[in-house]
Amino acid sequence: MKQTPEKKEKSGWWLALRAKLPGQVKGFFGKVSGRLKGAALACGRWFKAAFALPGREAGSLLVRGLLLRDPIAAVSAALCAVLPVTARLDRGVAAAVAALAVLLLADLITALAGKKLTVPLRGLCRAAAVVLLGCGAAALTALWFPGLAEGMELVMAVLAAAALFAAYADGEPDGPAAGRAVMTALGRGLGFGWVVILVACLRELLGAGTLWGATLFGGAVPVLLLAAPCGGLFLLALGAAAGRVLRRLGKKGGEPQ
Amino acid sequence: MNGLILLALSLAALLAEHYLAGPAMDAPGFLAGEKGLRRGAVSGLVTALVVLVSAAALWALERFVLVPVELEVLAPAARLGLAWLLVWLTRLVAEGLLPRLGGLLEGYLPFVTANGFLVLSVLGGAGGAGFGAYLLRALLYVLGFWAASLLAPAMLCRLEEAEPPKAFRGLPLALLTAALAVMAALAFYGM
Repeated sequence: MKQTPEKKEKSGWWLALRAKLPGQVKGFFGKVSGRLKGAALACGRWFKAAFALPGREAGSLLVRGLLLRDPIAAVSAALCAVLPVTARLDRGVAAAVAALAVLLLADLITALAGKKLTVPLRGLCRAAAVVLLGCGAAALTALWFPGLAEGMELVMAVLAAAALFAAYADGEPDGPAAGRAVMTALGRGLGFGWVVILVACLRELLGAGTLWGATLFGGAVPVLLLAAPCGGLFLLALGAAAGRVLRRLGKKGGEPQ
Repeated sequence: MNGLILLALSLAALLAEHYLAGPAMDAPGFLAGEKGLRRGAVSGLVTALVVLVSAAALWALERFVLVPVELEVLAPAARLGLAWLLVWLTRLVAEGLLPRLGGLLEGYLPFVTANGFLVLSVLGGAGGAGFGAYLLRALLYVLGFWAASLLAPAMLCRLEEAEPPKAFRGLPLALLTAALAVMAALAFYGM
């Protein structure tokens, strides 16, 4: 008969470890998950306190910027309309996209970092953030789209100059500063963007007879004056007057008969 | 063409500050009324001083710091910092030594900072130019801005007497007039 080998007797410490280990592992993971849960809850609370905005307020901030009722968006758009960057549609689109990204990031950084700063210092911090992020945006545009980078530095300078006023115009932050900053910057960026794109479209179309580089009206003579800086001022003046007429018509239409 | 851009940008900035930013910052009527011309001239001079001193400092900064360490990309931030610092130094000096100047510019110093920064941005970096040449270019730009800051209030003064259609009252007519002024300056450059 074949003899079966005797099983080795397990040592005491091994048995003790096997008895304790499941409980210890469970305890460890319980502690970690508890901590993680606590951290997630704290993050959620912070996120809610910083970002949560009533839908109505968020919407009104967005619309305010989009309709250029926000003075900072209006100032930035007015200054940008005279720059050479708005004489071509592709450059105008690049400037609008870069401005939206820069404004969003700069306002978010300032809102999170500069809550306790005085108004002039907050203005300087916001402008400095716009300038530094603008340098980055201009460098990235030059790297990826070399043809569109020309004049981007001046666009960022205009945004920074307007950002110097923003702290005064916005006043002291109350409530969820980051949420307000994000929605305000989004409204400003989009408002600035559509004006710049529209002005660029009209200046290129009427001033050079092309759109995005393509010739549209073969035989038509372009109005060269519109491609010059004074063209931007002309278009802005006409746009401001047209906006006023539209607003008045809208008010009349909204009145009860 | 940079001079033309400077003139257009200066006029647009002054008008936008007067009509749009000023009322939102509780500093309305920057260039309006009897004080407008004086305020325009004085703020233009302060801006000119800030730009000239900043240009001298920027030349040195660019030549001895930014170019050797290949950080020219930070020049815009240096321009902003210098303009802001000099304007606030001016405010301190004005409050202490020249209370009349302080009173005239009260509330409008952010505009001076922004305008100084804009002029410095259009001026750009020295790009290898000598100190004298760069400072001379800065002086010409400053004169251009000062002319715009005299032109804008004078223009607004005349516009107060005009009776345009309702839609053109205020900012649209001012922008249209500024466009005509820039068009006149375009005659010196050609299309």
